[in-house]
Amino acid sequence: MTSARHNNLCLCNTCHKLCKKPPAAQTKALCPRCYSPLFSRKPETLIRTWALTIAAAILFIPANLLPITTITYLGHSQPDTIMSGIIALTKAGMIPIAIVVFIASIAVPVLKLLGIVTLLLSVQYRWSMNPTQRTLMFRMIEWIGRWSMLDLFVIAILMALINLGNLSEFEAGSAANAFGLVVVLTMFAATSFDPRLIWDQDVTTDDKEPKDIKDD
Amino acid sequence: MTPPFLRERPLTACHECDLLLQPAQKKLHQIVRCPRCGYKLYQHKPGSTHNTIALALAGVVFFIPANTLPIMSMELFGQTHIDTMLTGVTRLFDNGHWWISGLVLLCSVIFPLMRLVLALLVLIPLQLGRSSRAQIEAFKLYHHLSSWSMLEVYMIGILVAIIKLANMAMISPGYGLICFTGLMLCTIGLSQTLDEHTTWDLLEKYRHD
Repeated sequence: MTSARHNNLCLCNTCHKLCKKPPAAQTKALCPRCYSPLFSRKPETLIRTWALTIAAAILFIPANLLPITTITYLGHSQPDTIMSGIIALTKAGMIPIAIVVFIASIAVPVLKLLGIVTLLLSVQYRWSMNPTQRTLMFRMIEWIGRWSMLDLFVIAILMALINLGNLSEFEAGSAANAFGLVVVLTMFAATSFDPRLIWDQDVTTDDKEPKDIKDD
Repeated sequence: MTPPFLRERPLTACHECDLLLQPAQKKLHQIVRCPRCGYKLYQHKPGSTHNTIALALAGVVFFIPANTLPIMSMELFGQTHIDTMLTGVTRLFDNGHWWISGLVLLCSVIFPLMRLVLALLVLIPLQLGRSSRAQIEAFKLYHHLSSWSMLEVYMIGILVAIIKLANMAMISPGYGLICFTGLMLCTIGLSQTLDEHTTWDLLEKYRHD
């Protein structure tokens, strides 16, 4: 198996055109087709991904401890964290909704953070994990990230609907800000990770010929 | 040093694992995957350009009613409250949550609209055989916005909100919900019908002609 990098070629990250690899000294090489900066691997990919992931992990703590919503009903205020909101839904018998909120607001962000950290460590310490499985994990992390926005959308909809002055009010809490940042930062972290690093350590055999593409 | 096989025919490489590949002949409706990591390299979508233009135009038509007509209304203690796509955003903003308000506005209103408009700006001139630097920049932006347009997530959010409120108030869906569903289907369809691979090839081809 031979990689593009081995043949002094690199794929444009935006339009996927195969280009000649820019010399290391030339930092401002642009793709001839779409004028995006060319690089064989995303620049500073590990440092950037670590930074974004750590920031998201830190913000995940206030996002879960502070109240995400406060419902005032007939003069009685009830602040809810993400978890207490899920417990309240379960007690009210709305199990399916509780499961949906739990998956979007807790399971997905936690699994994403753990997944990105696993990928980073596996690349840095050359763990012998199956590269195909790791690529699949990366694709899942990329795809599922946006679904964590669900809770914020629900808050926006409920704020519009529940607005009766003193009788009943629905208010977003400070955790919503932290949670919004967690979602955005983890999405950026997934984009800044370069999956090609997973395969770079895999090049054990170095064939001289490129492989033919298989058809589905 | 250029290996001899590079001079024979144009090669491609996998975007996810950097494997160097000989491109296969494009066949109708064919999906081509990387033999090493399984990444979908490209999928041939016949009629992609005019299908996408049609979908994007339909999306633009749905956009205004979807954002201004009531998505649902709720009756509580004899008072009726109406929710459009923008009421939640403005209330969040008025209560000082400008960051969440902006995030929701971008992901559920602005980015979906931008993707529709950018697709039209790229594809209509392309259909007429034109390609310019502006189209290339627009298509790059379209590509980068793909994961930030989240109408299907918003749709599930609407359903969650309806179920949450169902036992405390009377909820009735509005016409905005129908238009919103149409808009959501158009934005999802856009990613399904647009053949990014061929679009880049055409943008390049017409530039040099």
